[in-house]
Amino acid sequence: MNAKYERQLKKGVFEILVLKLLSEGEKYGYELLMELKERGGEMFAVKEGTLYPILYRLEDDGLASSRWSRTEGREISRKYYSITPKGRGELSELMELWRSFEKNVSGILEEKR
Amino acid sequence: MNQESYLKEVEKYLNCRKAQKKQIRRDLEADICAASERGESWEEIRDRMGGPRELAQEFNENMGSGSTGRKMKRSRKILLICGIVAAVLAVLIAAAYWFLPKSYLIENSEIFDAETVAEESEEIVLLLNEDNYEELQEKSTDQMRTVMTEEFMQNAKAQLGGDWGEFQDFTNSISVEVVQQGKHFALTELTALYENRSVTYQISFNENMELSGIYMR
Repeated sequence: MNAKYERQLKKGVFEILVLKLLSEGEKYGYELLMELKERGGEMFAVKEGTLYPILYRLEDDGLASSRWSRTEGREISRKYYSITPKGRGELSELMELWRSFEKNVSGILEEKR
Repeated sequence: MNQESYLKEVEKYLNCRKAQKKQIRRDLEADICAASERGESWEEIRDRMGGPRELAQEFNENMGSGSTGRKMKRSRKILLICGIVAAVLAVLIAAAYWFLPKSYLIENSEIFDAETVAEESEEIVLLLNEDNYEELQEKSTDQMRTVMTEEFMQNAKAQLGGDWGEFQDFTNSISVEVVQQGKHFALTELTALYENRSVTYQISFNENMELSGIYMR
């Protein structure tokens, strides 16, 4: 399989997945990377270079917000991302879209003519 | 390659604004820190992240909107600079245009009457010939009045060479309307023939037809 097509296909769903993970509670970058890998397997094992641009975009669009938190005894502060109310609204709309998208794509792919 | 040089290398290949680079660096640092707290060694983390150049390129690709945004900004900046340069040039040209005298056909003037200007110019020369400074003073602007004295004018005439002889006639006369710094003047150049020489006068009037300048050669 051409890796470019695979990447292209997966690209669009990361935003929904990240929003979904954030809707469960605030998380920092590394946590999101690990969770995506654990829950989605190798297929969704993204790297920082993909995850952070998504987080920046979500933040720019007001769907997620972030805060730096310095915990005692830790050298470097952690940046926690959380979903905003607008982000929750967007997530439910995207989920709706995903369902009909999935149904229609499958419909065409499985159609026998 | 240690963490510091790795991050430096990533920053080098990032194709975005400095502030964005700093943000990415901080996020990566926090990530590395979190990973090592989970027990990953720096070597493991580095292997997972991949080469600094590849990581930076992944950022660049995925910040497509961001990097095109940057390009947009850059081209907008260039556009802005061009705009400013054009505006400054326009102001300079306008200023130069304002300061430089421009002449127009007196016949087209809305302020001056060509015939009156020509007649008044000749009249001035005739008054000068008669040394009638009293009347010349009356016809002059306040500024011109200070130099329109017998002493000053005799001195000026003397500089063109002593005795001109009797006035004979006007040989040619041409008038234009001059606009400078928003002010309108009527400027006439006329040559007067005297017994011993000819003298070319340049006589200017302001908008009220007051004598505002005389030049002789």
